[in-house]
Order: sequence, then C-alpha cells, then structure tokens
Amino acid sequence: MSEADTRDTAAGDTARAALDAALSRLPDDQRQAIELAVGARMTYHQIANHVGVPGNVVQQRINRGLQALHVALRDYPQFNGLHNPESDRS
Amino acid sequence: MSHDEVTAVPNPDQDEALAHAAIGAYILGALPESEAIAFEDHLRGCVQCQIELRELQPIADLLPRLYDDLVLPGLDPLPDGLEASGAVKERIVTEATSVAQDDESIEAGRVEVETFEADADAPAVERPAELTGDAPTVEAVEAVEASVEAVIPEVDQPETPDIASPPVEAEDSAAAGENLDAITAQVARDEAAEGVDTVAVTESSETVEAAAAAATAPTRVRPRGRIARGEAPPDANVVSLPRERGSLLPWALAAVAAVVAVGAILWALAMMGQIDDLNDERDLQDQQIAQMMTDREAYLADTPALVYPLIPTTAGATEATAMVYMDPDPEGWGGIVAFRGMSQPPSGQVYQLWTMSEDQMTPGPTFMPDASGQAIVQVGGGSENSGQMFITMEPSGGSDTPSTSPIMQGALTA
Repeated sequence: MSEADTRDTAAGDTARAALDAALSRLPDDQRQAIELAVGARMTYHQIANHVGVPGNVVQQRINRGLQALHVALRDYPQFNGLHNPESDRS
Repeated sequence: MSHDEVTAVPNPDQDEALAHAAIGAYILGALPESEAIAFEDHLRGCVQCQIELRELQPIADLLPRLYDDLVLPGLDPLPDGLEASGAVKERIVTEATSVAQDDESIEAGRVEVETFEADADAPAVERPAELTGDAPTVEAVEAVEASVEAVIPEVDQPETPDIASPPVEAEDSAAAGENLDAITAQVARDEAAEGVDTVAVTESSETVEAAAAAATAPTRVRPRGRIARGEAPPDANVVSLPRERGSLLPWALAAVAAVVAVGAILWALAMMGQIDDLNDERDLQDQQIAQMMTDREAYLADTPALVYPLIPTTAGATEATAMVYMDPDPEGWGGIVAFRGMSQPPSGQVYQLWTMSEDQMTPGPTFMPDASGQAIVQVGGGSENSGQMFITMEPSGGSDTPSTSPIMQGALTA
C-alpha cells in the first residue's frame, strides 16, 4: 500500500466513500466544525465566531470528530496501512 | 488513545495543555500561522502528539478531497467549463502568491536603495566634479567621509566663539544654516548608526554650520555650488580658526581645506540625506504592507462565515433545507452549501445550483444527494458577490440555462 496513490485506486475510492459516510454519522457540531475547517478553509477562531462558542470548544469538537473518524475507519486496510505506526518504523 | 483524556486531565502546564488541544485544528490547517508555529514547537517534544498526528494524518489527507474534487459519492462531476477548485482554494493560492510578491517587492525596494547608493547620477545631488574628478560613487562617499573625519581633528578645538557667530548679513546664510541643521541632524544619526564616533560628528556639525555660514555670507550662491567651483573664500573669518589655535598650516591651505571640508560634508550630507529618505520610504512601505496583512488577518479572524438559508419553493423539495456558508473574505467569493432532506431526483436528472447577479444567471455545479438526503456543494470562483442562489432539477450533466423552475432559492445578502 505504501506505493499506492489513494486518489487513483479503487481502494482510495473506497476509503473516500468510507470517510464520507463516517463524516455524515458524526454529531452535527463536530461535522460542522470539520466541514468549515476543511471545506471553507476557516480557522478555528472563525468557526468559533460563526458558531458562537469559545475557540477551545471548537478545538475539542474537531479533535473528537477526527478521533471518531479514526475509530470508524480503522478497520479499513487503506487507513490501517497508512496510519499504522509500525509500518513507518519498519 | 482518547481525546477525552487529553482534554479532561488537568495539566499543570497550561500552555502545554493548550498546545496539545490544538492538534486537530493543526492537522486540518485551521490554526492561524502563529499558533501553528507554536504547536510545532510543542510537537517536537510531545511523543503523544506525534503518535496521534501519525494516526490522524491519513484522514486529514483525505478530507479535503471530499471538497476539492466535488465527486462525493452520489455527486455528479462538474459540468465542463467549471473549475472543480473553488474560490476558497483560489484564495489560498492568491494569498500565497501575493505574499511572495510582497516579499519580492520589498526585496526590489532594497535593491533600489542599494542601487541608488551606487548611482552615479543621483538626482538633485549637485556633484562637485572638481572635487572628485569623476562621478560620485559609494567609494567616493566613503572617501569624503574619511576626509571629513580627517579634517575634524584640525578644527575641533573649542576656539570657535567668534566663528560660531560671524557677522551674518545675507538671508541666504540663515536659510543655509537651517538647512544644515536638518541635514546634520540626519547625518548624526547615520554616522552613529555606522559606528562613527558620535562626539566627533557633533563637533564637526557645529564647525560645519559656522564655516558654512561664513562661507555663504558674502555670496548669493548655495554652499555646494560655491564649493564646487573650488574657490577659496575671501572671508578671513574662515581662516581665523586655524590661525588662532596656532595651527601649523598656512592660512591659505587651511582655508582651502576648510572649504573642501565643508563642500565634502555638504555633499556627503545631501547624499546620505537622500539615502535616508529612501530608507524611510522603504520602511514605511514595509510597515504599510505588514499593517495590511495584520488588518486582513484580524478581519478574517473576527468575521464569521456569512450564513444564508435556501428556502424550498412550492415547486418541490418541501422537505429539503440548505445552508450556505460563505467565506467572509472580501477578496474572494466562495463557500459551501450544505443540503439536507433532499429527495432523490428522477432517473437521468440531477440537481443544479445557480447563482444570479444583476439578472445574470450563472450555472453552478450539479449534485446528487446521498442516501440520507445530504449533499455538500462547493461554490465560488468568481470575484463578485452573487445576489441570489437557486436550485433546479436538470438533465444529467447540467444545463447552461435553467430548464425548470427553482425548487429552492435564497438571497445571499443580509
């Protein structure tokens, strides 16, 4: 997997679909924070202003959302192959 | 590995805890640059963050593609002629480019100043051609500075009272004196910055003023012009200085030396004054650029995304809701539209987004909701605000002009 470009492989499409699905299952506030950060390129300060919560809450939502995505996707070999620290060390 | 631990466990080092909490925003690129740098400092010493970063990196890498490519599962690709990348992406590129250009122009400004220092035909500086016999160069300036310093020991004895207040009759002298005051003040700064003995400079300035006042008194010529002709002053006041202090120099030689010294100083002062002006101008530009960047960042940080709802029309999609999140950046127009509760269009049909500005209808991306009726569409790319947004049902592939009535619409103004 190390040589594969996930964008161009069927496995990549699967990973993307899985990520999209996992994203849509996130709690609204977490998904919104991630969408605004990634999709609208907003800083967490801007998101905080927009949503009307303190900046550390936005950070927490992003952290928890990403963790949830990580947990949801850990069974996918694409992500396992990429994120497994053992493979980086070997 | 749980983030709940990370955020719930009180950390005695508050900064450390704050830095740690920034990991998600960091990996998504949602930290302001200064905070990103601070986090990277933290990251070097935090094994936990390093591991976490490695775990989350694949997700962070893949997330932007959901928005960049606009080929979310269930979404049609964009119609031809529409760039997949939105204004948001463009803005980032533009911003990066403009920053690079700013750097370049600053560099160019520096080069300009340096060039001027070596410029043989610097404007408004009257060249004492007889003095150097050639175009003034940086070397010439340095030589003049050296000669000025060399002259200083000869004239710095405090025997100046009658010199310092010579019988000044001509108005030109007063004007020249004022001018000199300003110039010598500048030069005192320049010389001090270059490590020259400040005391010596101060003393020489007084001497210059006195000598210049005396030298200009009998004529109506500017000091530089007079000295450029290399004439010895007929005024005995000038030469009284070396004679009174018992100099070994013959008075005529001293007079010439004094005049040359005055000319050299004036010329060097004028030269350095110009360089100083250019430096000031460059510094001012640097400040203005920095201020603009700061203002812009502050504006963006303080300005929330502009949020507008799209309202279902009677033509259909009554269950659907949509929110438009527009980037507040005035330099670009872009954002995302999040749809919910969208029904699946009939076979061979897609939804298409339209923007309208001054009766000009612009086709936007086509899209399909996913199984749960959600869709996220990136919009933008134009530089002008669009007044209204519409959603219509179109044949697969999209249309150039709407072929059905809008099923949702909303105004993109407050």
